[in-house]
Amino acid sequence: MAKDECIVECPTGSAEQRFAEGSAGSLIWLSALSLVTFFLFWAAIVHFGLISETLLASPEDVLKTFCSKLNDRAPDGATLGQHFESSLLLALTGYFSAVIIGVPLGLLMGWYRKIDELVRPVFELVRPIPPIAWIPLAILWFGIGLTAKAYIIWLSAFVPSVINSYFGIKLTEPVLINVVRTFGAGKWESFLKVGVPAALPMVFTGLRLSLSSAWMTLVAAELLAATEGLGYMIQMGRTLARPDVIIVGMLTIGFTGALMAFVLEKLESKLAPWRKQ
Amino acid sequence: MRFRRVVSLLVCLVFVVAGCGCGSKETPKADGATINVAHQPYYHGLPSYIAVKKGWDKEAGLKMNIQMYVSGPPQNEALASDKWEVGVYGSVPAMLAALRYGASIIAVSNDESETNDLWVRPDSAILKVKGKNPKYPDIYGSAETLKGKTIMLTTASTGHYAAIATLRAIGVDEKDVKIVHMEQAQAMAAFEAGQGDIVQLWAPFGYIAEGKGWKKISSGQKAGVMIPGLVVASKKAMENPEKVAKWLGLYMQGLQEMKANPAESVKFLADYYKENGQTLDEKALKQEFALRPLFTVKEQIALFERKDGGFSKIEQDMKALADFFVQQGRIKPEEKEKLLRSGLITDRILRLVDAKQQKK
Repeated sequence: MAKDECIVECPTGSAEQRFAEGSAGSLIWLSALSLVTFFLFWAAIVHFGLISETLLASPEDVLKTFCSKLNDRAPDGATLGQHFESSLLLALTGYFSAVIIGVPLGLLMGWYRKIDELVRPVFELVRPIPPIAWIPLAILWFGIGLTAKAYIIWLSAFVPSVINSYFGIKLTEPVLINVVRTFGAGKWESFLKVGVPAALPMVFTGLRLSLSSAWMTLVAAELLAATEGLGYMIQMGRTLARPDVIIVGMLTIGFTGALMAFVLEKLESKLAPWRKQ
Repeated sequence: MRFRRVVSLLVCLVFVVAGCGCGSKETPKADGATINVAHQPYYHGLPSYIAVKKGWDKEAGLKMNIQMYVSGPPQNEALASDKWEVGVYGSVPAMLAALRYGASIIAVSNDESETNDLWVRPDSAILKVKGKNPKYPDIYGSAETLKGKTIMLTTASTGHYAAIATLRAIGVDEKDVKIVHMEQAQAMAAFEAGQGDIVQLWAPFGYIAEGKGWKKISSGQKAGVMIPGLVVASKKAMENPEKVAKWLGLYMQGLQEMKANPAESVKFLADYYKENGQTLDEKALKQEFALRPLFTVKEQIALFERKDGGFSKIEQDMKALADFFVQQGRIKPEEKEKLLRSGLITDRILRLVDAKQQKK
């Protein structure tokens, strides 16, 4: 095929690169504007009394509380750093144990029909059960320590890892599989050399969704038993009628999750650079 | 793409507007003939229930719209949204309602000191020592038997208060035990599963614990602290004290009925619990009356009365609770002063009720 007949993907040159970089630059401004607008809107609705301060703390109060919580254990018994450390350990324990099991399981289920038929019925049965419903059993099986709480997070993070890995490998182009088989590769070799790389973009999507689920389940997991943690901090904020404490906890969870998602995105661009934007 | 952004923004705006409760149609508008009352499905809601069952509310021309809440925090959130005018709950959420939302503490529902308690398994070594401190002869345990133990309790609550009072009574430092925060039902489940060494419970969970063969080692009363259940009126409701007094009159009428006719009231309590999804056996129902003293209007006026320029009995009890919360870092010292010196604890409504009762 001649170069001027290429319509699928044009080779990138300096003009395209400059266009792409320019677009990314203007998008960064848009994201910053969106955040600034959000905070201004929040401040305005509290200051103009559209929502009472007893219902929603103002951004200034939240910032004051955030700064004080860096060193002050009041009113929830630990500093923000201590809460963060406890929750990070819990979230990452649940998350990594979920992806270490979920991703390979999803890939194998998607590639080997027998494994799919064996695992899928139980998976589909367990999948819709909300993690919080498992708390009583988690206490019975694992006690009230880190294991029980990490289990709740594991349940939440496990499902997206499995599903996305499963569909990622299922969507491998048949042409690629046929080519590698034609060259004599067996099922396992074609799984490793074609299926897994082809599934990587969806696997990374699954990792991001699992991460998000893990952080979202943190509050529920720390309902089980806690004296530290961002979820515990939010609960104490609720008990003590301190919406500022609640929001500091929520925003800390939000920003941490967003930062970790960003790191995952960078990792994906290294490991799966062929993924189309 | 632009169309999608506009739609997304509109959807966000809709959620924000919906979130501020502008469209809420669930709570009837407060007027002279209706009062929004917040209760929990526990003993201190019974007086209102009896008043409704006996038709006293209709006779008084005041319809009670009773809302049920499972615990203090959601009840306070509803108070912040002006969903109720008068309510009854524990002294911790009542204190926070006063501090955060300007609510007034207007009466006592019952004395809950004995039913904020600590439980162990029947084979616990803690049971081998009793009355270590002669000033607290009914408390089991000592510094030696409690050191290193895990206590499962609901922190920032009256149960936590009772637990710390117990530790202090027998000379145990809080740092020598491990305190794990759990909600009541989960604490019970965990304790039954073999977790922890001591579990802190309040009624009616304590009665269930007793039924399981667990042993009570202490309570707020045994540890020398008074834990009143409290009646609260919202800041807005207090602008119409006659209406609040009308409702409190009905509540006190129900309460006085419970004192005068415990046998019949036990049946009402059984029905009240059943309608709210709980079943207690007769022994537990009778214990509610035996362990949780009630006070008449006159007795309550005496509790609220300041003598010789000092604090009233209720103010002293709330001061002790507030001191605990300040020590734990849950509230600030200036908030404690606000609670005690801003007229948030008042006998104004009780006196109106008493005056009406005198006229009859």
